[in-house]
Amino acid sequence: MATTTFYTKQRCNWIEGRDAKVDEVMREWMHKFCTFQDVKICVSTFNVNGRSPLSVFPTWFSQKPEDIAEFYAVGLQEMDLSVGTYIIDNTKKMEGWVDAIHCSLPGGRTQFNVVGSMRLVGIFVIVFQAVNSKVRVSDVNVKYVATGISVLVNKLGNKGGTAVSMKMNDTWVCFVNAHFAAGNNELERRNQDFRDIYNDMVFYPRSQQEGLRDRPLEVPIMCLYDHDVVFWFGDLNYRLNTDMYGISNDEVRRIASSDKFADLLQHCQLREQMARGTVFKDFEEPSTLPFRPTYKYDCGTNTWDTSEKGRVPAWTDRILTFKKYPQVGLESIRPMVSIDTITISDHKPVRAMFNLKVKKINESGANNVYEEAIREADRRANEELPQVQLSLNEVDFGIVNYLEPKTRSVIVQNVGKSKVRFSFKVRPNARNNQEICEKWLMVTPTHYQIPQGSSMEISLTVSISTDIVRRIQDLIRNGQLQEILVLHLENGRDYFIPITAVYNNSCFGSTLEKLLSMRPKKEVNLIDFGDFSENSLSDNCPPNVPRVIYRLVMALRTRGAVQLNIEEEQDNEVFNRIRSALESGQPDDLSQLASSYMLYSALIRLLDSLDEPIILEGMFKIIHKEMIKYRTDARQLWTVVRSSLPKQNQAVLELICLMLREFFSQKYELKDQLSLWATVLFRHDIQDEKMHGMFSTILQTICDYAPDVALG
Amino acid sequence: MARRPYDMLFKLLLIGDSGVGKTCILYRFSDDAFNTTFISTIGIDFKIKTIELKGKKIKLQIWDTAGQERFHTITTSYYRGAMGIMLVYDITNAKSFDNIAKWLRNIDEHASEDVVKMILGNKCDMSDRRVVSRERGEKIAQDHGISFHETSAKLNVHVDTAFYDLAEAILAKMPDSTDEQSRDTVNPVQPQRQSSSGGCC
Repeated sequence: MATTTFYTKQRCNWIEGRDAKVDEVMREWMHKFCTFQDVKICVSTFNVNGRSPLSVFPTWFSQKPEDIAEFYAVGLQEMDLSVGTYIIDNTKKMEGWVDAIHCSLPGGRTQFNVVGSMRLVGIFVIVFQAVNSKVRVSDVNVKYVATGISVLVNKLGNKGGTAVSMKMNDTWVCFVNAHFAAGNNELERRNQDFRDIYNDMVFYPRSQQEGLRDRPLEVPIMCLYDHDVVFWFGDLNYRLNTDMYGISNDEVRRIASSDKFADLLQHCQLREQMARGTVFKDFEEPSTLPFRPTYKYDCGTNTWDTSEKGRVPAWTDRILTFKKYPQVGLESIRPMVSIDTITISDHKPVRAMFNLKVKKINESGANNVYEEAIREADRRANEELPQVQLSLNEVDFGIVNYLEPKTRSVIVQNVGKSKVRFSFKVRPNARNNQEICEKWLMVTPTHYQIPQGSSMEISLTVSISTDIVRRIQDLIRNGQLQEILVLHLENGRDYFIPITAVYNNSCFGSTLEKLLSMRPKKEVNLIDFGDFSENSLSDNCPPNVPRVIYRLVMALRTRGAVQLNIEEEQDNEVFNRIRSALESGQPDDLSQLASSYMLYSALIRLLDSLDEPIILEGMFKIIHKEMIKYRTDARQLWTVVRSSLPKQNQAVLELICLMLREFFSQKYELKDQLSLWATVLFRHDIQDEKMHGMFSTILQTICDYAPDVALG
Repeated sequence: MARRPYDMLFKLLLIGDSGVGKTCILYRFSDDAFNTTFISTIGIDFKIKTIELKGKKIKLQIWDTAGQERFHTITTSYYRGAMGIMLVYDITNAKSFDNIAKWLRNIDEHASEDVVKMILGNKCDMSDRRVVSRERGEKIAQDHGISFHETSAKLNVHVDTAFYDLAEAILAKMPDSTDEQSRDTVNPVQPQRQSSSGGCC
C-alpha cells in the first residue's frame, strides 16, 4: 500500500535529535563507538575601528611551537566603516584583512587554508585550518543575522552576527562573531541583539538550500544549540555599571590602569546579565579576565580615550563558549589575553586557546549500539514512569449510619524513581460527570505531589447527610453504596479504588409508612418480657403515629420546655445513642437518655430525613395555596389538613402542634422556634423570605388551636 | 530543537476477561519477562516499546486494562484514542472466549471507528487444558474480518508477531507521507489526540 520511499529501503540509523532519551543513552555510551582526538583551536576577536590592516601583525598570535593551533577563528568588527559599504559590496578592505590575518598566523600563510568565512558589512568571521591537520572538516555552512537599523524591510548590517558552522570529524562546531549595539544605555538593545542572533542563526542543509530534497533525514537543520560546541565572540559592547556605584570615570581609569583592574569585572553588565540568566544562558567564560579593559584607547597608543566623549573603559571584546552537554571535552588551555601591542584601533584584540576533543563516530559501531540504546531508552522510560503502592486496593466501610461519618485512609507510597503528582479523575461514564465521586463520599486531598520515597495519606469519609439519606434508596446498588475512585498519576497509570459501604437502614431517611410498620427489634427481649408489659409508654402511641416519633415527643413533653436549652452544643455520641435506642426500642422511655435539646434535635433530624415533608405540597401545591389563603384562620387550616393530608401526616402534625403549644405556654421565648419548625414541616426554600413568613404564620395559627377546638 | 523528522507513536490497548493474560503478554513484549503469579490489574497501566517497521522507528505505547467485570464501564472510556486494540481470550477458558462478542460490541460502541482490531487466543502452551479450538478462534476472527493469533506469553509464542502485525496494519492505514517536516514532537506519555484519519503524531 505504501509507495516506495527512500526510507523503506534502509534500516534506521542513529540521527541525533530524534529522541532525547536515546540520545542520552548514546552519549553515555559514546566510548563504545567513538574515538576522540585532541584539537587545539585559537579564537580571536578584534574591533578594528575601520582601519586598514598592516601587512602582518606578528604579535597577534603566539608563535611558540606549543601554542600553535590546528584551527584559527578570527572575528573582526568595524572592518569597513566607509559609507559606501552599506550599499555596495566592496570586498577590497576584506581582502586586505584576510591577507593580514593569514600572514600573521604561525608559520605564515602557507601553513593554513581557509575553511570558511562570512561577512556582514564590517562584521567578518573567518576560520583557518592547518594544512597538516588530520581533522576531516565537512558540512561547512555560513550565515549572517543583521540586527541593526531597519531600512525598509532589510536591516542594515551595522550590527549583527556572522557565523561559520562545520563538522570537525563528527563534532559539530560553530563560530559566531557578533557586534552588539553600542552605548552605555543600550543594555536592552544588546540583550535583544543576542536573542535575535541566537534565534535566527539557523543553518539549513545545503541540500535544502539548493532545492534538493533527496536526503531530508540525513542532514538536519542546525540551530546554534544543536552544535556540540559554539564559540561566540565579538564586540558585545557590554559596559561597566560603575556610575551606578558612584565610581567616577577617572577612578575607573585609575583602577583599570592599576594591578587591581580585575576588581572592575564585578561591575560588568554582561556578567550581571548572565547571572540573571537574561542572556548567554549555558555559555561560559573564565571567571576572571586576566587583562585590562580592551576599550577605549586613543588609536596608536595604550592611553584611555582622550576624545571629547571620554569613554569609560570596558571589557567590550569577549569570547564565550557553549557545550551541548557536559561530556563534551572542551577546555581553555591558555589564559585569555588581550594584545596590547596592537594599537591601530581604539579596541585591543582578545585571544583564547582551547582544546577540543573531536569525536569520530564509527558508524557501524554506532548503529550496532543504536538498537541496544533504543531498548535501554525504553527500559529507562518504563522505569521512570511514576509508581506508587496503595495500602488498600479497595475500601470497605462496612455498616454506615445516618449522620455518623466514617473515615478510612489509604496510604499512597511513592515507590518510583521521581516525584509523583496524583489526582483523582472525574470518573468517565459516571452518573455525575463533574465530581470525582458520589456525594456520600469525601476524598481529601484530591490531588497532591509526593516526593520520591515518601508517602501520603488519603482520607476517605463516608457521610450520610440529610440530603443523601432522603434519596438513599436510589443510591444503593446490590444492597450497597458503591463507588470506584480513579487515582491518576500524572504521566502514568490510573488506579481504580472500589469503595463500598452498607447503609444501616434506620428510622432516619425512611418514610412515615415504613416507620409505622417498624417494631422494636425483639431478639434482645426473648427472655425478659417485662419490657413489653402493659405499662410500656409507647403502647399508648396513637395508631397513626410512628412509635419513634411518639417516643421522642413524649420524652420531650415529660421533660418539659423549661429544660430545653436551644443554645446547647450538638453531641454526635449522644445522638448515636438516641438513634440506637429509637431503633432497638430500648429504653422505651427516652426522657432520661439525653438532654432535652438532644432529644429535640433528634426529632427535628428524624422529620427532616423523611423522604417527604409532613405537610405535603399536594397536587400542584394545592395544599400550600389553600393554607396560604387561610393562613390566619385555624378552622379553615385544620380543615385543609384533615381533608388533604394522609392520616399519618395529620396525626404527626397534630402531635407536633400539641407539643409546640405546650412548649410555648411553658416558655414563651421558644416561639422563636416556629420559623425552624416551618422549614422542617414544609421544607420550602428558606431563601424565599415571603413564603417563609407565610408558612411561619400558618404554623403559628394551627399551633394556637388544637383541631378539636378549632373545628368545634 | 529544530524541526526534524520525528518518529511515530501508536497507542495500543489490551482488553479481555480477567485472568486471560493481558498483563503477561505486555510484559513478555516489553520486558521479555514472564511471571506466573497472578496479580489482577486494578486500573490502567502502560509500557513503552520502540519497534522498527519499514525503516521507521515506531514508539508503541501499550495500555493494559483491568479485565474485571466491575470495571468495565470505566475501562471502556479508555478505548477512545487507541489506534489498535488487542482482544485477548484464554484458550483454556470457554467463558473468556464466549465473551469475545461482548468485547467486540464494546469496541464498536466506545473505540474510534477506524481502530485496528486483533484477537489473541492466549495460553496456547497449555494444550492439555485447551477448550477452545484454534479453528473456533480463527472462525470468529474471520467472521469479523479481524486478524488472529494464538499466543503464549509464557513460552513467548507469537507475542512479538502479534504486536508487529498490529502496528503494521495501523501504519498501512495511515496516509502515506514522505514529507514529515511538519510533524510535531512525539511525547510518549501524553496520549496523542485522535485525528479522524487515525493518524498519529
